Amino acid sequence: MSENPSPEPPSAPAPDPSDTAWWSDESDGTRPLDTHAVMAQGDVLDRRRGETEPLADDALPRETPPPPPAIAAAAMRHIGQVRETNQDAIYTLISSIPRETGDATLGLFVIADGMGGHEGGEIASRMAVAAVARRVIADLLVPAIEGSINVSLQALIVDAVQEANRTIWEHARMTGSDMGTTCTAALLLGRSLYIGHVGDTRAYLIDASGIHQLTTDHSAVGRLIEMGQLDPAEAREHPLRSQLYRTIGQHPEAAVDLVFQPIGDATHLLLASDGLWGCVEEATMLRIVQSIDSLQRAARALVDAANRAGGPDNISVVLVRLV
Amino acid sequence: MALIKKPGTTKGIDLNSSSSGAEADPQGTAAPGAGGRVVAPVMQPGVVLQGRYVIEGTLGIGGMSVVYRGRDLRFKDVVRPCAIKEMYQSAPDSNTRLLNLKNFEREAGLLATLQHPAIPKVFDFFEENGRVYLILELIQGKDLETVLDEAKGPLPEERVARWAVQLCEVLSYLHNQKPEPIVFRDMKPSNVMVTADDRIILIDFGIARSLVRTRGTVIGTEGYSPPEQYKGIAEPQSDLYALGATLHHLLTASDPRTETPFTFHERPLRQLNPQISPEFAAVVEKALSYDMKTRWASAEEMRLALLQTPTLRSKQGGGTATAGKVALSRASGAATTELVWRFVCEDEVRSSPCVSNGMVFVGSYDTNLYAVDAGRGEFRWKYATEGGISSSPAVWNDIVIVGSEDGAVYACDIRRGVLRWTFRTSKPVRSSPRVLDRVIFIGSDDQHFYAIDGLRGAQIWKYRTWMPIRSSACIAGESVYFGGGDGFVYALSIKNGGVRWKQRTQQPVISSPAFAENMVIVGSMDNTLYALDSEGGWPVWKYRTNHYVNSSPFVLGTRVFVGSVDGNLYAIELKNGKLAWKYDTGSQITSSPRVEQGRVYFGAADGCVYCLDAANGTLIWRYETQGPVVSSPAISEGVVYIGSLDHALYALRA
Repeated sequence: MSENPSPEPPSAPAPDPSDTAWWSDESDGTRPLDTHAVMAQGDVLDRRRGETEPLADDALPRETPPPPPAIAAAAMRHIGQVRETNQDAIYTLISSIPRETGDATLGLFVIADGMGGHEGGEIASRMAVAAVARRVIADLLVPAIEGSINVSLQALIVDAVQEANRTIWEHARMTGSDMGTTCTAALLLGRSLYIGHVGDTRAYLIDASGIHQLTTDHSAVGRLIEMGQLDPAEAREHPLRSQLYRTIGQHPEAAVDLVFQPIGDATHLLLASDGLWGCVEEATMLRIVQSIDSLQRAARALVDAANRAGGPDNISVVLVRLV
Repeated sequence: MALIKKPGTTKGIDLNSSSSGAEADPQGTAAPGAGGRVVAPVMQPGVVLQGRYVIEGTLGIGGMSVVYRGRDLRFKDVVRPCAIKEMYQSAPDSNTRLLNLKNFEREAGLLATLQHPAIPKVFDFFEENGRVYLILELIQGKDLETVLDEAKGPLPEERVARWAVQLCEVLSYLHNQKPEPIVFRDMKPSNVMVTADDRIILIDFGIARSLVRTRGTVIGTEGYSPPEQYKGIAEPQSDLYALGATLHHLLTASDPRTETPFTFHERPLRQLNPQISPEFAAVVEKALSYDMKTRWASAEEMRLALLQTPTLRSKQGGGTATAGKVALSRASGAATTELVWRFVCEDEVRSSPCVSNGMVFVGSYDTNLYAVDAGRGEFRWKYATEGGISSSPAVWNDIVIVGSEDGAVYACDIRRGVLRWTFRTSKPVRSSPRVLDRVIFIGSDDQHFYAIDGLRGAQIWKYRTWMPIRSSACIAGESVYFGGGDGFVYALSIKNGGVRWKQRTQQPVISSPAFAENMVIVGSMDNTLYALDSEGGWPVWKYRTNHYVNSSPFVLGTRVFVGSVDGNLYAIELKNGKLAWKYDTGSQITSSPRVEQGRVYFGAADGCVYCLDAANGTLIWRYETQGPVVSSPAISEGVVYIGSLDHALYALRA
């Protein structure tokens, strides 16, 4: 026991310098100032372009930049207990982006859950993450590092998923395959998430109040639950539970859902394939994420939970710490 | 069967999609092992069944059956064609196989009892070599999905309406079968054939069945099937929903299988295809009600309603009458408003008025800052600067602040117009002041952006850009945002003018930003309206118009309102940059809209002040002044104040 008795009583807080008006007015405020004199003073100052020119007596402190973001991610995929192949593909990227003050963080997190025989599912899911990553890196990451972001982020993430669709559709047509995949791609820039989504891989945001599903499953059963027509418990047994009405790679064009979500005070972003959310309750996922500090161990625990529940399908998880 | 769940895969896949179906390689010709499809055992031409039916070719392959074109050899002198439907079993599970067989037998039995011109006749049903066959009347024609694909767009309303009536007739026939009605359960374009003389025939009775009120899982086709079929319920009204979905698809070419299920009400027919008559759209949309009880009570009721629509009532009537009506309403629709008062200056009023303390303040190119009584438009005072005024005044406490072409920012006492202070820049000030606490933010053509102490007129800080600053600031949180003539949008710290970020657009930014939902919304002369993330300035979305966006956006609720030099006033969804509506003035808009009580007010270069319904962009009134209106409105107590280049300041009834 090393309890130090407080040697000093807590001192009264020092007067906060920010309490005084930041325009630091010393006059009584009624006397009009000789602005010509002020201007003359300003004119002798440095006139380099693009420079801020404070008044001569620079008592203003430099703005303290916000602390660097602590964004980190762990990703894991597992074949499960039943399937012969792993048709899921996952991808994560975290990069800093130079900005005038306080460099920003860019994150890209993708899960694709493939389907189709003769390795079609593996190929389609891999092609989907590759297409999304290629597009975001070429059109956003590289320009951002060069300091010239010019794309609209909402359009970019939707286009990236649509490009994945076209790539797979072309490939499937050439090879006569029935391949397809889900694709949920979350782009994080600054304090906002841009999610392009097709299928039933889910994105969840976790904050102090709980776990919140950001995406809508593109299954008719999911839609009926959303409309309150089917009970979620009943739906678990529904024969059409994993039938999707929207997929990537099976039509020449795909309608991509866009979710634009400021992260606010959320602590984690979680992407999960149906192999995870289909057999692990949201409350369990929440408990694991909140109780295990290490992202890697939490991701592992999520996969373990799905396997313990039978692991009927491939399990994929991407867990991102936002604070 | 639309949905096929294959062993070893995770998801079901819609193999019968129009696109993949039309483009797909015919079975058997693809390289072996290339695809994962279940390959149906296709019989070659020349094979004879029962010593009577010869196979001539393959018509189509479904999930559980193959349909061949064939010929009945018993008719020796004539060619009597027929369709030969062969059931094949691909399911490994014996229960499923048994169920499939029962369905096939049911289809045969059902068809044998029916007699209707829109239902194919059954000639024979037998088993041979362990397979089951159904011999049907051969329908010469195309299915509606093919017709739709070939049209590459919506089909004409009149043609669809005639089919709709025929489909109602055949559904009515099925629904009136005794002792139990027959529910078709799978109405969709690919199950409807149309013959050369435009008659329709229903095909594929594979899952049709007499109404048995027990729960099952046969759902028909996703996208067309009504919600209750997912719960195993299929009533005659279920067929009406699927008919509605089919008609919706034909009329809009928007494929319900790729849309979110049960969202027809979110995609109204006339929104997707404005050429559809409201009457016809109403009949179809009633069939698409989510709740069975609010659909048409019967196919017959729907048929009668269809016959009452103008489309079918007056077949000989042309479209000219409606066109004339539209033109007339546009010409006579110039509702206007009441002029409350008009105050005339000595030169153009480009400045936008500011209403405060019962007075209206506005600048004029005649160099004066005017104070006018808001209620009666009477002159109170004026202050003469040394240049024209295009900057718009702002009031803070008891002073009114404005910039002038003479390069100075002036602060006058609001009651008598006595000068409190001036702040000189070295070029004209066309930007308008914005006030936070006691700090005034304003840009100048001298390329600087200034923070000025509102009490003393002393500079707090300034920031230099590359070009004149005519945009006015938007203050939110700790940042001040404005656009520059150098094409950048700037975010500076309000405390010391330090750059938080700057984001380039392709052309100068004259528009003034608005802040909402952590986004900075601003127009650029690159024709685009930008929504920038206030955190780092990167574009969240962009909306492109056809000309400069010098108007400043106004945000209310979930929408952004902005004008463009292309003549349109745009209402854009804040969250995703999608167009909600636009209104074409046929003129140029540089005035910035204001929204008050659900109405949008703005001026245009055609000299008019417009008032639109903010919900849908319909014109409520239009007031004509004698010169272009580039000033932006101020609204207070039911009165709109706005300047015109005809030298006057107007007060109009809102």
